[in-house]
Amino acid sequence: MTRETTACSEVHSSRPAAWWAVAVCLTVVLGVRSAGAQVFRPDDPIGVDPDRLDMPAPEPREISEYFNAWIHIVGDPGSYEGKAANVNTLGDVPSSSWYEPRHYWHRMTPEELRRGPNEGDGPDAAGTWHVTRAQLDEETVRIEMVDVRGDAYVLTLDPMGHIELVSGAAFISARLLHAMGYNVPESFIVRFPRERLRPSPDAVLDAAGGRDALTARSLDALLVHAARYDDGTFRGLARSMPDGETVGPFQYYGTRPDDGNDIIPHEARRELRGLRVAASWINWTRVSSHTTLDVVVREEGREFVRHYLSNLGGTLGAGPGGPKHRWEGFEYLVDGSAILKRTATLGAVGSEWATIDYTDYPALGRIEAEHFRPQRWRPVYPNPAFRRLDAADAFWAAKQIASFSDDDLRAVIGSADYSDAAVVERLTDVLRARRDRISQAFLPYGGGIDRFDVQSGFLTFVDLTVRHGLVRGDRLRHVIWRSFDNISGMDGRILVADQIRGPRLVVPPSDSDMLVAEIRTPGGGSTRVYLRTEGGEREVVGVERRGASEGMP
Amino acid sequence: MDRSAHRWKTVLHRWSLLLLALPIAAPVAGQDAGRAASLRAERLVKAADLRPPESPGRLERLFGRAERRVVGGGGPTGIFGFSPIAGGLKPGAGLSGGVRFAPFSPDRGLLVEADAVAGTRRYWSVSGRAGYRTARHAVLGYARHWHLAGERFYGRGPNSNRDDRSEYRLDESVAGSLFHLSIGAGFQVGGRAAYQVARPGPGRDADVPDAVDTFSGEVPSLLADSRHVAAGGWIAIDRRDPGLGSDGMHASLQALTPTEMDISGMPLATDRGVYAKVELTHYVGVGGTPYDLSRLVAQSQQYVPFRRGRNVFAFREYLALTGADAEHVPIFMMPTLGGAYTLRGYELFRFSDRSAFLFNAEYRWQIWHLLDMALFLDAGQVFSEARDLSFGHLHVSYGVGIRLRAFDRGIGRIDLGRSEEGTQIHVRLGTTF
Repeated sequence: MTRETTACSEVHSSRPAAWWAVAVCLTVVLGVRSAGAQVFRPDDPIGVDPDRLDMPAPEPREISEYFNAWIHIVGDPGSYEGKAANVNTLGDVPSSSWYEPRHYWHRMTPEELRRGPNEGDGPDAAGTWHVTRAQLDEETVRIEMVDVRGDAYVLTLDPMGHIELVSGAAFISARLLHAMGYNVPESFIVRFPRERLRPSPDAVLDAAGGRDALTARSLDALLVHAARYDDGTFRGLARSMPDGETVGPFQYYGTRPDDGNDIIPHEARRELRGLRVAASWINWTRVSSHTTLDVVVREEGREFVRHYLSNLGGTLGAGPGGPKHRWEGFEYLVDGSAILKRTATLGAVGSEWATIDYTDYPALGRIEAEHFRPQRWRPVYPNPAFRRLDAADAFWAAKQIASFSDDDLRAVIGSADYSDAAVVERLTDVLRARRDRISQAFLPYGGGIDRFDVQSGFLTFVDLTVRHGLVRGDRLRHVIWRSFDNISGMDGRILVADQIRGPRLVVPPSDSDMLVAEIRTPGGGSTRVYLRTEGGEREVVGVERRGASEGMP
Repeated sequence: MDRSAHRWKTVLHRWSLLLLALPIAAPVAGQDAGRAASLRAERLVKAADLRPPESPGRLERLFGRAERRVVGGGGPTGIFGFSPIAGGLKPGAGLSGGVRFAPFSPDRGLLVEADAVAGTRRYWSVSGRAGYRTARHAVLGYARHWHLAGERFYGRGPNSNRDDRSEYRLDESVAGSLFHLSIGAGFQVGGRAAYQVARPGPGRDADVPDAVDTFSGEVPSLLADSRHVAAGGWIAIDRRDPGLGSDGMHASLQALTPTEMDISGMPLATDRGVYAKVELTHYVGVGGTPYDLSRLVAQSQQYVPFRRGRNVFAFREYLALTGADAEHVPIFMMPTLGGAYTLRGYELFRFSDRSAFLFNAEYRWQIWHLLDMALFLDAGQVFSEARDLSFGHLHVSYGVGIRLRAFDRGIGRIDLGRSEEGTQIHVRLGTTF
């Protein structure tokens, strides 16, 4: 059996020191090694990863976006190879400082989906917003401001000619990612007149020409780059920074050497690998460390780092300063094979995306579903965690994405306050179609079954391929029950071989403490489900899937 | 806290964490403390050996500086108003570059700038401009002196011999003013007046015959200094997308002197639209210069995109007609063909005469977001009288090129041109053709 458990010896490294080597060896010998004697340990499957231990706060750090892009384009900075290392024995990601299981496991109401990560009500619309910093970044106006209550926000305004484009995309994507379980900052759609903004006495302007004092006049000049409604008001997304000290972005590889909780290489984290599928869904081509945030938070007397996805303005059809570039999502910024094709064919082959017709909604930008192929979707530059996405990671992400119903999508998209109802309808259609493409691509892995449970002597499950319309009717499956040795990790004798048509099967009587059911779906791989006897009752303790391909889906 | 105390505190901290970790990780005999306990123990072990992040390396610091400059500021005014210039001299100057001083942000409308540029072939120039410029209009005064150490000349007319290559030096000073007005829908009008002094002399290369010696009988005025007052005007329509932007103004300023062939570049980044310009300039000889002349220049460009601009057919037509006696047009005021901007399969300035016709066609296709490839065909002819122009005897060259572009601007290009006289490679920086 291949276990999907964390591997201590692979996930940290330390500087050689005599006393330290002794200590590590003691720990490994006494703790981890003996614990590893069992395949399934007493507390499996864990629902919580204890990575919120009280730890010294890491040093704030900056990462050059250009340098980061460079090292990802010319090579692969990740070093971990293998299956995701932070999953429990069910193949799911436990609750952690990175991730919190939400919509798929505990269905959220439309109101919860709309509210997303928000706890507050956003900037006070009654008073003046005091601007402390303003910037024009890639034709997008960003303003840091404080409202009359003293709450700070980062305000991203929609770019000229595309009112509602960036703010709508960021608002919707934040809610979808939050519902999937990722940490995202609070965000609010705001519409306001120019008069509400007032530069603080020490406000600064970062623009071409360098840093300068921000005045009412220079703010006006900056706002020329922002879109306005007919009544002259602006629209933007106000992000509230999480409480705590920001210590910079996280990388999609390695660990922070100054964060004791960070022991699993980021490229080995399923939620970061699976984020590739989620990113493809919402067309988050600009996903990189530059759109992440590590924040030191204090909860229940413990201080630890919580990891956020941030800066979601480059999602859906939005790009820098307007709609996305046409190539985004279809190839990397540097894509050797595409360049060769175009060179050799005088441009006739290798840029099929150039001729895609997009609906002409300025608020929508460039996103569509007809040409979307989840397996071939690309961020702007390679991502070490995305590179390592395997079929199990993709299945994990796809089952969550598939769990968003049409009504869920309509609820989220409708909350973005688009002034044109047609935009809501069109975007709902696009995300629904992209969701379905993802389901088709990744859900069949292992037979497409999940949510295993033992009830009244039956092992039950949900056939996701049927639930989400990929297959009609109950499928015929072959089942082999065996005993299982939790020490050796070996299968025992065959207890029952059967065929089922439907989402439940009888658990055979056996004296063995552990059983394993291998459920084979013709043409769809197989899933092994491990049962353990606990308190006289059988319970599901592990799930292992296999498909036609274990590698890159 | 002194270092010794700090070290002991660190050791104490590590051992305390370790002592905390061991009971969690180590099971009581025969019992498994569980997976969560193991994970917790690993974290406590790491916590005992926390290290600061590695300092950024040299390359990362370099990237960081560039990023801050692009994203956080820097911009056109550069460092204390100084910024580097790549290129900036006439073709034939070799590899050239220099520095520009522009103390005011262009956003403020006030234009004050000065350039100093030098090339590897001992060319150099200094220039200054001052005035007011907005997106719609410009009023500028300018002055420039340049030293062209070795300009090529092969003789006058379409049948000049490649083996007759010669050189001459030219020192030229010009001062003038111009106005430029955009009147909407891409239409522009402008006018200028300038005074210029040209002093030709022997070329710099001892191995190449002097044009003064070789062709003095053919073009007697080459031997004499010339002084002219030039006045003229133009009307243009520029509906190229993307256009030259502010670079267009610089290109225009570069072409203000009477000695220079006023041929508008084909912007490398333009993928649609049209451009057309008609310009008439009259040159009055002063200070003992015994001849006047007039020049009419008409040129146009067309860009036909398909596949949403990723593939483009680009065309340029150019016609320069000079009204004067043939022997009264000094060679440095003749239109020329040959080189990276005209006939790319021929050497620079290969053909010269009173008038010239040129046609360029390119098929461009984008191979990368920042790179275009191009196949091109050039055809042209110089002539003395209009009746001498024969489309059946055009000089033709063809070839392939690669172009670097970013932010809707052309950064540079490499063209490989072929003609009956051999192969030429052109490496050029800049936004234009």
